[in-house]
Amino acid sequence: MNFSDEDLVAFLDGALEPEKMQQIEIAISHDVSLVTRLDNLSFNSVEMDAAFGSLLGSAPDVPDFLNAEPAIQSKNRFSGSGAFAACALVFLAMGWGSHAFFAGVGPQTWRDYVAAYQVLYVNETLSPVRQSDDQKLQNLARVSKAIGLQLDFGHVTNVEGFEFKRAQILGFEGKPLIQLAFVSTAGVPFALCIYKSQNIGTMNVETGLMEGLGATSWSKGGFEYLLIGGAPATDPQKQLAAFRHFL
Amino acid sequence: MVQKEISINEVKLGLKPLFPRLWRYCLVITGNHDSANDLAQSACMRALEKADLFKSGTRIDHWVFRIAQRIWLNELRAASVRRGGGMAVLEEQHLPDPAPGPEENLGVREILMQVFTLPEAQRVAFLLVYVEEYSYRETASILDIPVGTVMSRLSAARSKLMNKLNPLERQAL
Repeated sequence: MNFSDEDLVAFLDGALEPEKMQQIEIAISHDVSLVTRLDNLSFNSVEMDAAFGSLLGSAPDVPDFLNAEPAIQSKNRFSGSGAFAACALVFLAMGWGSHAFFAGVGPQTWRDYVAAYQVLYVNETLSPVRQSDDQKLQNLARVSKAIGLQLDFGHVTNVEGFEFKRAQILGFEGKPLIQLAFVSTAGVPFALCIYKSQNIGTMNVETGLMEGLGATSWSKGGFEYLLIGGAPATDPQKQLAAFRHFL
Repeated sequence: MVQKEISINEVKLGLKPLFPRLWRYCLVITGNHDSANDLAQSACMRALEKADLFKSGTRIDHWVFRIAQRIWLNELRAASVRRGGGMAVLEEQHLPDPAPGPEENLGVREILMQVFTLPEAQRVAFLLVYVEEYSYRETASILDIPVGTVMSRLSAARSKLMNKLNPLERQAL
């Protein structure tokens, strides 16, 4: 059977219809020339990501008109929300501090941008994302290389109460920022973001509220971490225990 | 009116962290820095103007990439070509500076140079699928073309690119 280059590329990308995928898989086992053609169409995705990742550092600054003060503070997320008010009270009652990086004033940090991005996630955002274990493995290898931190497949995919969906390379001020996206058992999107730290010291675990989302931050081994998503956790220790391999 | 202002704020919040990726997308579309700057700014401004059309909770990157693509095709491309910049490939001085680790950086520069020599339609589809990791269907939606056209552009791009890059990779191995 003859396969076009379009078919073979779609096969390599996992985007071919199942019947044709199977036909190619069968053909590979006895057609050496087909294997050669596939090989000739393959490329090193890690190098490609590194190449294009390097361009992010050349981007100009965000235009001033995007930095102008918002016409309306995002009080729509806060006012009139009994659930949110209750959570905020729980926070205060439990004595969690409002730390500098959660204060929302002063220079914008990478965490502020992450929070602003994460708040746009809704339950439906990640639900269509389906990756096989192989794809997750490749995905993690790619982001691990980008940030220079080896992420363990087992640690990422076996977080109790959370399903790992995907990893993305983002960027902040010319440096890679890794987003590991999870969905809780209740279907709520969470992100564990990792950014290479300017400081090599360790920062204690701090819990707070960013953009109305529960947020926990810490640093370890020259990397800063931010776990963000959902309403403020009623049991943050349990939540952190699930991510203990990153602490 | 209030709803429109809320939409503008939501779009602004989404655009700020997205901007470096949007600019990179514009660079791949236009092939040169100046046009990429113009296009990225225009796309942001148009997104704010049309903020009330943005569906809250949907992917802003997808939406703004579409806007950038349309502005390029309908408004800026012809002007850029007239200025002699539209079809230019990325100039070497605009590539990332080599840093320690010369072999790896040589690879990065070589890869970028080769991708930027692809025809515009092919390199844009290539970026969206292999760098931005959109599905074929999403890419077709952003570019407003059929999925089959995405497939043929990717196939052509990979054939050309791999002929040039694979020998380098094999050498590296």
